Formats: sequence, structure tokens, C-alpha cells
Amino acid sequence: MSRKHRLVLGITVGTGCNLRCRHCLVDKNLGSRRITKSEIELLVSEINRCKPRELIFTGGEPVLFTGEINSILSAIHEPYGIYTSIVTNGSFASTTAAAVKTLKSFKALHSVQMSYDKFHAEFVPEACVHNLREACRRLDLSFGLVCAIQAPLDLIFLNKLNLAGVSVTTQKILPIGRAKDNALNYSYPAFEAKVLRKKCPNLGRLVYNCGNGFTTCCGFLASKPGNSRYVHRTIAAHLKSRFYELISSYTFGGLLRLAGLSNDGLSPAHSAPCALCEYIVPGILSSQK
Amino acid sequence: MTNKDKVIAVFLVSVGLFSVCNAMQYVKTLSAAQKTELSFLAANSSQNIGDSEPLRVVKHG
Repeated sequence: MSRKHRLVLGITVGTGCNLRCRHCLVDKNLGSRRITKSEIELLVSEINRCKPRELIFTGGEPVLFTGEINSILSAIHEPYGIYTSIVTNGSFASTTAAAVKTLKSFKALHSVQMSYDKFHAEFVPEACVHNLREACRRLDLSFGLVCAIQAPLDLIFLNKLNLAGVSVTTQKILPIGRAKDNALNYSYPAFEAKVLRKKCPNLGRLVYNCGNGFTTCCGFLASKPGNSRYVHRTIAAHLKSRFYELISSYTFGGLLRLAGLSNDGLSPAHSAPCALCEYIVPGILSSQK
Repeated sequence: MTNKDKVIAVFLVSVGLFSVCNAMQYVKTLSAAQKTELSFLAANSSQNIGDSEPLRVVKHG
């Protein structure tokens, strides 16, 4: 399989975090779950078999799980042939030297994505952004920001940060985990019909959630109790599942028709693919028992 | 709709935050100061901003 067709695998190595952001999608009831030795063995075996082109370590805060991440990287056959990223809150970057030391503790690392937005800024000083960026420059690592937003105005803090040349990825907040508890959500003025022409934007990416399994869904459905239709023990089992077949075969408009639903029931919140998927897919799967 | 409004709306659409209709509606709700901030952002950052929908493999928190 060519490199560009190989999947991207996200790995939630643990749910623990040193911050308690209001918008976090991690459910507070998950506590400090940590990937186990047997899960690492399974994960390594799946990685060696499927050869993803990229591994993205996330959490929780992945820096709290450096040992587990290095166990995975040490055991895979060609760790340096796989592009490796972490998504971090960057709170360890109190100085550039501290940031360099932490980043060098990873066995292989190519890219650092720092989550920084008005919510993280309640805990993490702006200096950490600049320190981490400088550490990445010194270590020749790619650096970018991920900004969670409720509305486009949440991005204007970037004007003050003076981060010319840094790539910024926006994330529209979904009501999952603590974001749901705190009634935080990205709001659309009206339903965006273009979503009906799209397929799941996560196709080609899988997530391994510690204590759970492999899934394409890193949103509503995977986080539901009794999620065995959406989360599977192996990559192959997930790719063969009815859930994956549905989301990879149909656009959301096609799924809506398959479910026998009309557009009339769609609200502005259904403009978000995850919200629309949650509205449509469980009904289809239940009717096909 | 002023030229500044149009610049902001185009920016919001280009980075994937809204469709055209929603972008225009949203811009109408902004104050003059907010429009100035967003147009500054549009002028300086649009090439570096991209939307990741729904959730990339990303942590919040």
C-alpha cells in the first residue's frame, strides 16, 4: 500500500491531564485511565500489521505518559519510518530549556501540536507557546497550534500572539465530556446543507482509545456507554464493521435517506458532522439488528 | 454589506468555519470593534489557519 493510502492512527495513551479545561471532550468520569501493558502489546501488533503512516499521541496530556509512548515506539518495527506527533497542552514549556528536555525524552518525534485557545489560556501562560515553538525550532520539529472555538471571534487572541508562519488548526467545540457539562458548543446560525454532501471527515483516520478500542469515531458515538457497534478490539474488526461500512459508503445525505429521515428534523447543530452522525446512524444500526 | 464585512465573510468560509449564508449572518451580529479584529486576523493569518472537522485526533484539556 502506498504511503499516502496508509491510515493515520491516533492513540489516546491516557485520560489524565494536569489541567481541567472547561471545554475538554474527555469525560470527567473517565478519571485517570492509562493504557495497560496488554493494550500496548495489542497496539504494537496492530501497528506492525497495518503500518500506519502517522501516529498521533494524545490524551489527556501525552507528556504525562512518555513511558507508555516510548514503550510503543520501541516495540514497533520501524519507529523512525512513521511520522510521529503529539498533541499537548504545552504547560511543561515554562522555559525553552524545559521544553527541549521534555521533547527529547520521546524516542521519536516529528511534530508537536499545542492546544492553545481561550480555555487553555486560563491555565497556561502565553510564554509557554513561544518557549515550545522555540524548542521545536531548535530540535527541527514541526510546530502548530490547535485552537478550540465556540465562535470565530475566539480566534482573535491570535492577533496578540505574534505567531507569523505558525499553522493553526481550528476545532469547533462539540458538546462532549466537560464541554457538555459546561454547555459549550460551536454554534451555527442556521443548518448548513453542505454537510449532507459530505462523508465522515475522519475516514482514513482511526483512534485507539485506551481501555476501549479502535474506532473511526472520536466523537459522540465512541464515547457512549455500550459502544460495541462503534469501537472494536482490532483495526480489521473495525474496518469490517457495519458502522464503518455505513460511514465509508454513504454521504450524510445518503445516510439520512437510508434511515428514512427527512431534512425537516435538522437543526443548526446538525451542521456538525458528528452531531448529524449521532442523529442518524444509531437508528440505522438498531433497525438492522 | 461593506467591503470589510465581505472580507470577513470570505475569510470565515475559506478557513471552513461557516458556509457563505452563515458567514454573512454571523458578520451582521458583530460590533465594529469585533469586525476590525477579525479583518486584521483575516489579513494576517488566513494562509495559516485551517479547520479540522469534526475532531482531529486532538485533546482538549
